[in-house]
Amino acid sequence: MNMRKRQFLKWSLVILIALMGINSSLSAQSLTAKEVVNKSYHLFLGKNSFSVMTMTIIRPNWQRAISMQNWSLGDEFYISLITAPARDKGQVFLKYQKDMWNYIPAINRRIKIPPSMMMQSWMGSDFTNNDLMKQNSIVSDYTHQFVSTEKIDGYECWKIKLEPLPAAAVVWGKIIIWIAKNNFNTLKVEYYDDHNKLIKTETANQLKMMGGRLLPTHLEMISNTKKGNKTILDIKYQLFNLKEINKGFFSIQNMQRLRPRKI
Amino acid sequence: MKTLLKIAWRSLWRNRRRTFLTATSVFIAMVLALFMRSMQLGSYGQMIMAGVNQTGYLQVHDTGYQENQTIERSFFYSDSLFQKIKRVQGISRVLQRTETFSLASYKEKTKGVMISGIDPIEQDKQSHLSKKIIEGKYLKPGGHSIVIGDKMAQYLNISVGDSLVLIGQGYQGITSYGIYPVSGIFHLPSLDMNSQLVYMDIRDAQEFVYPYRPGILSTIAIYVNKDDNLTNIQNQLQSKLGKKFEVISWKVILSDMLQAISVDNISGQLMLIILYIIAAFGIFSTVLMMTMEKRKQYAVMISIGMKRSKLISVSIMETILITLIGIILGLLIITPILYYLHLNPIPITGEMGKMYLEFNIDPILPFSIKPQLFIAQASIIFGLSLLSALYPIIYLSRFNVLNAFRH
Repeated sequence: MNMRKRQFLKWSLVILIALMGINSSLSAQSLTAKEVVNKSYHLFLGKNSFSVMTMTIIRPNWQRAISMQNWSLGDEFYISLITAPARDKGQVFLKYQKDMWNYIPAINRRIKIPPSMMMQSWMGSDFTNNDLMKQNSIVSDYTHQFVSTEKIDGYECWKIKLEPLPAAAVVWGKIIIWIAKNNFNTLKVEYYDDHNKLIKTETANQLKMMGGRLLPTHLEMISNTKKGNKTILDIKYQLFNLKEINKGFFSIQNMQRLRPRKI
Repeated sequence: MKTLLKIAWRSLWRNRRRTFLTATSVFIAMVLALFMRSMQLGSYGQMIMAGVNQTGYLQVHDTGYQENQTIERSFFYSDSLFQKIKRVQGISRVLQRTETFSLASYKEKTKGVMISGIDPIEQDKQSHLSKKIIEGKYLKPGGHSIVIGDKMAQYLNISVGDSLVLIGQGYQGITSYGIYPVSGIFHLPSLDMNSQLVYMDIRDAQEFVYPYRPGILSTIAIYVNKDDNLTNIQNQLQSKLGKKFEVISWKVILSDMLQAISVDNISGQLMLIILYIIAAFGIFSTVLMMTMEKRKQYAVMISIGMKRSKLISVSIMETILITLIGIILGLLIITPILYYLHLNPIPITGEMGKMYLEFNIDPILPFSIKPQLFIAQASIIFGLSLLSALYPIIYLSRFNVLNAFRH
């Protein structure tokens, strides 16, 4: 009896120490890697959101800036209205659950983007249509694993490795993501293909308070395979949880009626 | 010499049946080999011509376009560029093209298409697209209309007179869009082309891709009078145009097709080798029999003072004569047949025909009547018979008179 009791105490002590070890090596909040990625992903979403941004496409021998306003509801509904340059003004992109639509006012037509076009670049940028369509894939289609802790721009970050689930229809072989520990902003993402080759790198910095949240205002998508190709997103304005945004706003009919929101 | 030939000729006809059978085996080998090769080479030639007619013998692009065919690697028309090209000797036609990928949408249906901006009149002289229109009318210069393939029309459920919306990405990232009425529907031999290709006037395509500066081009297709000096023309063009442009030959552009051809060609050559081996053994067995049969005759003739070398030449002549009979008979019979088939190719139907269509080839079996083909087959079979004639040479030079009598 005495013997058994001693053994029990010994084992519980070992387990306790082991648990404490794991606990302290992770974080004070003891979140899983998936929860961290999920939390970071929802930072930009809110219940609904509105944002104003400029996208600059940089190529070795030309560059081009596009201004737009975006509305989102959850992660299934998304609408983008191009406000500049003049030729593209009034163009609307609508993400409606699993479909993507494009409206062009100059010819007063809207078209549905077919699935075969999902890997094409969006508006000539380094983003593909798929990047815009399947943003939540980063949470649902991958396994998440803490790798280490690194500092980026002075922020202490988790470095998290994402590997696709066997059945997931994704293009990346591996994603490495850096998320700031104290504000959950994703500060850097590296996208690798099946052969473990780095294809593109996304960085985010210049964190500011927008819509009541601390968010990065300057994002860069750099192609690692095409030299001199990158796309910059500058977020000028951001609002969350607007009262007037509902599901009806994200309709095909509203694409034609959509006007820029006054800030 | 003349006497020897006479002796050879007579000894051939001493055993008519055997001579006849041997000549027939040569004849059959000849006919089969020629028929097979003529058909193979004919269809290769047809595939190549169909391809080259579309692409041009040479293409001039912005350097790197062949590797990565995007609208970003376009260039602009300039008079000096075309002056340089036209100054090269041997060029029969120069065609400009502006090509890009785009989305085509009609009502609720959308699909990815390839827009090919062509000079409606000049291009038609080369590829006779206007004859392939099955509904409506061919492009009119400056008509701001398009012609599309029948498969695409079927998929989008669009007909002549309806308007197709095209949305794509233009030069330097601009959004390209336009509405174009369908003036005609074409049917080309290729399923791919019928389901993906949209032809429009090159000026409309240029406006679509980059409206801010006229004359954007993706390809200059060059046709030559004779393809013998193609490399020469290619080198001249490349040195005149400099490093900014690449001059690509159809052999590179159609390299997939050439590879398929060379794989197929090897299988054809294997069949030929088997055929030749059979024919060679036919000739050899006759030679062997003739030599053995005349053992006693040889012994007598050598004994009374006939030179061995003369006997050897007689036996060689016999072999050559038999082969020649077979070859000449073969040529006499197969040539008119091949010539007829060359003029009236056999149409292919069913699954095989469909496969041809997928490769953008008319479903017919054309026959080649190139003289090289006939010369090659005749000389290979002739060479094989000479090889068989080695046996009597060796036999006679080692021939032992006494041994021969003893048998």
